[in-house]
Amino acid sequence: MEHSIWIERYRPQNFNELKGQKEIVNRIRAFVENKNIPHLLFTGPAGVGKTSLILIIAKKLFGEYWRENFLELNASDDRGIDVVRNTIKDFARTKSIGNVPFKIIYLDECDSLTRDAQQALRRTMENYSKTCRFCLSCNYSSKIIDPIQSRCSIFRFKSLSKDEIKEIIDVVSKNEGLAVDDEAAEALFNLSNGDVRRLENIMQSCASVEKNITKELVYKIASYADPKEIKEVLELSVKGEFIKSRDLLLNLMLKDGLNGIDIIKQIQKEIWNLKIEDNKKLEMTEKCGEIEFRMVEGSDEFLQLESLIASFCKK
Amino acid sequence: MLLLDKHRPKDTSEIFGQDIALRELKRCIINKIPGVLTGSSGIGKTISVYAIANELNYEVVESNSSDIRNKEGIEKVIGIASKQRSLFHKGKIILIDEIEGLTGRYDRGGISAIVDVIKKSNFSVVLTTNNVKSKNFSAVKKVCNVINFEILNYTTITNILKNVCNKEKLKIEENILKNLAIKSNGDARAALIDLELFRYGDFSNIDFVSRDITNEISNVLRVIFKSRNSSDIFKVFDSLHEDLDEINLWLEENLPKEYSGFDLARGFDSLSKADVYKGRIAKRQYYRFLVYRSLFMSAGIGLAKEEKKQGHIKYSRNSRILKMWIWSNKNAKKKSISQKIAKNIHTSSRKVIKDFCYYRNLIDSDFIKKLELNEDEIEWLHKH
Repeated sequence: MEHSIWIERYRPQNFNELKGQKEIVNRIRAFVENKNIPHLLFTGPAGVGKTSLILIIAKKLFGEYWRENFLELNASDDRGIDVVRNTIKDFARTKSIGNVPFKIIYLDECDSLTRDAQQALRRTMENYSKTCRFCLSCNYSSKIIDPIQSRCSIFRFKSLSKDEIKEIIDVVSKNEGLAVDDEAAEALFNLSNGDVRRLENIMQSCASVEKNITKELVYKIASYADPKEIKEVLELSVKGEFIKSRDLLLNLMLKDGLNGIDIIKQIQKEIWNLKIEDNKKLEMTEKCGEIEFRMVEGSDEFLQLESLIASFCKK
Repeated sequence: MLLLDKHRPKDTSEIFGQDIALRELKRCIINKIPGVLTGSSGIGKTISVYAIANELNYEVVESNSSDIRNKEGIEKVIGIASKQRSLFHKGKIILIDEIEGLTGRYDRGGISAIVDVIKKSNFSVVLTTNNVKSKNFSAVKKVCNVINFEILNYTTITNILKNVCNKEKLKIEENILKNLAIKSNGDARAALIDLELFRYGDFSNIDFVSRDITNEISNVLRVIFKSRNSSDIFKVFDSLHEDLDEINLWLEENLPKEYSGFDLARGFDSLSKADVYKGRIAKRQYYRFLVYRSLFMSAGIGLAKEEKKQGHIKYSRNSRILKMWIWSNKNAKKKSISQKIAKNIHTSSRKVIKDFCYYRNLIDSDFIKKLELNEDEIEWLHKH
């Protein structure tokens, strides 16, 4: 059955379909052909092919048994030490099916694994290395503790170039019968920022409105994901309307179920669209960075955001 | 209209518990002897001046801490008024209220200007302050007659409340009034504001009992927000046996009611630092950090202000946690749907929630079948 969601429909199925990352693909292909891989650590921004590559590896290695021999966990959903101790151990304990002597455990978004869980993982990786290979993926390798890094071959994925993004746009639009002009393609590249997941989501959302995709349509669709209210929150705070600003912010966070880091990223971007002096923007950005740091150190994300907008309120 | 304003005493017979002070004040005003009224908040200093003025048919020219009161400001407003005769009244009282609000850097030279006005005025001048003993006011004391207003005992406050209740035809049990009076710590204004809560509709005892902590916390907040004296702040903060998380929420909710501008930014900065230490305690299990957390929550916020805001502000409970709970229930379906989507497209539910608007557009009947959504979830999708 063909996938109805494009990011799955156009997920590369072979090594040569994976855009960008040529060197990484060549090295990995050599491992797979020899039916042996080390533990892997994939780092790089979102939507550049980390998960796609590991899925290709699993399918090539295990063939028809790939689902039995492959465990995919998302550390941001299944985080904590229990997952490492139970789910992972249970899977790693049993022998693989077929002619490859090991299974693969894929841990996505490892940035969000706690340090305790990482420590537990380090022992598990050693104890089960005969029957199991681990593949970890994350946005920043600095969040992974050294002992784990030293047990893995590290592959750094790059953002896709403009040409590579355009190739994908061409493939998708040809297949789906879309008309995408140059301006629209440029807009898609800018908004997706080299993130193919985002690109294909925007394209599919556009296509559900209109087969003829224009620059205007692209910007309109993409603006749904960047809540406009953030701009309003900032404008209110710059005017000194603290209470209104914070109430709006709280509602926005609760309504959409967004977390503090998502919000502060938006604020940091939106500061530069305000109609105020550049010096003031720089000052606000500095505070933004400080508060993001405190958010990571502290425990109450909303309190930190309040402190941020209070600092914008001062006249 | 607040009960407080509606039943403001019109003459001295309606002011309770300050007989000696009232007699002395009246004598001063009639004989144009400058006076400084001292005593804690909410015991009737300002209203006494107005009540006497009313009785004598005098005009009151007031300057309070909402005015600019540096040298020029005092001379402009009070200086001129102190020389001109009143047009429609027999006499005039120059009232300079809350002189402790005058020490900030914006009011530089204010005190000496006031002393000047007192010396030159053709009319009686009355000052009020919470604490005349402060060394800032030694110059004032030399030229003024000090009139002490006593803290009101709880029976007096109960009588004040009863009086208001009778006029309002409010039927409130005497022991509730008594409790309000005790809780007010001699502050009739605070008691009247608390009475406001009982003004409309049904009031059960349960409601009142649950306000106990509220009152206690309110008092601590008041000291933190109004005082710049760190030892006072520490004293009340330590006396409060309440969870720091709870106090934190109260501070967060009520800070913007008291502070604004730079003060607000600094206040929140301090609260944010306190929160960082809370996070560090949790991460490292190093409990000595508690000291820093408490310091930033108490003195850090108290000293963040340049000048206190005058007036009695009613503090309210933080509703954020409740809202979060309500929304997380409302969003539970969205979350569970996102988790199911995430499993199907090799990503995390967090990323799906973030871009939910896209996925919402993309979900067609085939995909829903694959997700194996339950009836509730399908219903939610149709509604949103």
